[in-house]
Amino acid sequence: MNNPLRELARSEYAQNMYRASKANGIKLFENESNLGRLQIVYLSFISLYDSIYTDIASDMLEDAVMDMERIENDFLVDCYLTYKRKNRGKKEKRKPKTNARGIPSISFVAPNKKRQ
Amino acid sequence: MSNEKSKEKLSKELALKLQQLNEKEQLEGLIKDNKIPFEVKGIKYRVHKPTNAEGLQVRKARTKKYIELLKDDTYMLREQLIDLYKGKGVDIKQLEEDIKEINLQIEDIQEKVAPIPTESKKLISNYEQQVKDLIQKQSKIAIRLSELLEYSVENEILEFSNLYLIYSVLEKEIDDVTVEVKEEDNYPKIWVKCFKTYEDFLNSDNETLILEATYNLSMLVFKAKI
Repeated sequence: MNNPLRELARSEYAQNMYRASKANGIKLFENESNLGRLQIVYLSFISLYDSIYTDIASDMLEDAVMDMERIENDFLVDCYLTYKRKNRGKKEKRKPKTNARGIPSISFVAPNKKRQ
Repeated sequence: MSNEKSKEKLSKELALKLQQLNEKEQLEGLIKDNKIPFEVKGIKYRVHKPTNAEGLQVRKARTKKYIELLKDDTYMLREQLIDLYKGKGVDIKQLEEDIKEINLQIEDIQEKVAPIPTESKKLISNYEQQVKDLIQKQSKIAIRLSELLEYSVENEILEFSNLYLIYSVLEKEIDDVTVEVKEEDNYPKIWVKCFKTYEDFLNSDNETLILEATYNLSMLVFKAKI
């Protein structure tokens, strides 16, 4: 069974409100500060689902499967997040260093120091 | 003290009540601000997130209680209790390690499931069940740990702080009779502190009220066992 707070946080309404609050400062709650426990958990879930929706849209998923169907399932979302966290380092290590933009690297040397 | 204990039991029922919270509409109402109103036997009550002043008041009461318990030889500190259990063959540290180990097992399963295609429903469902079983196993250990350490000074302090916090932020709605109104009009409503003293709160036999207040306050503040 899915967590109702997570369901609310991933809903289109909540996500739209979250984006509007980031862009235009629209209030998500009646109180602006001193957030309560549920409010903090809710905000962290909204932000979490916002990042997953961004992952889906930007097609950054490689072999960890996440899509609009799987995002509805808390268990699969947890699996995805664990996979992503555990493999983040590995992928960065595997990624070859490229200079695709063709911008030359610049090293700054202090005037009184000789270049080695 | 016996009254205090019965309220501790009530606060433990929270976990069950939290499971029953499954209406999105109800949730939206709870997260809109920092006050949660509720009704018990026709009277309106509410809890609010503690202000800094109320937080300070709880802290002062907690410190006083802590010193009191430290002087009382019938209470043991958590570490003393752990040593005592070790002598009786119960390894608390090992139980804590077991909980962490189960977390790692759950993560291993989650990592395996992530790349499995959605079409492999049966396989995913099997892994999901394995995770559920592990969580259940973990909960059993956590409950046992909590029972074993229930009578440590640290736990007593936590329970005391939770109860004192409920006493501090529980309000009820009453008529403001200080305002003059025409005969046909109702008095305006105001919120006042529900119990004048902590002793009044402990002596209250309205268990439903305390349970509701505990449950609602748990939505507003982070407390390990509230």
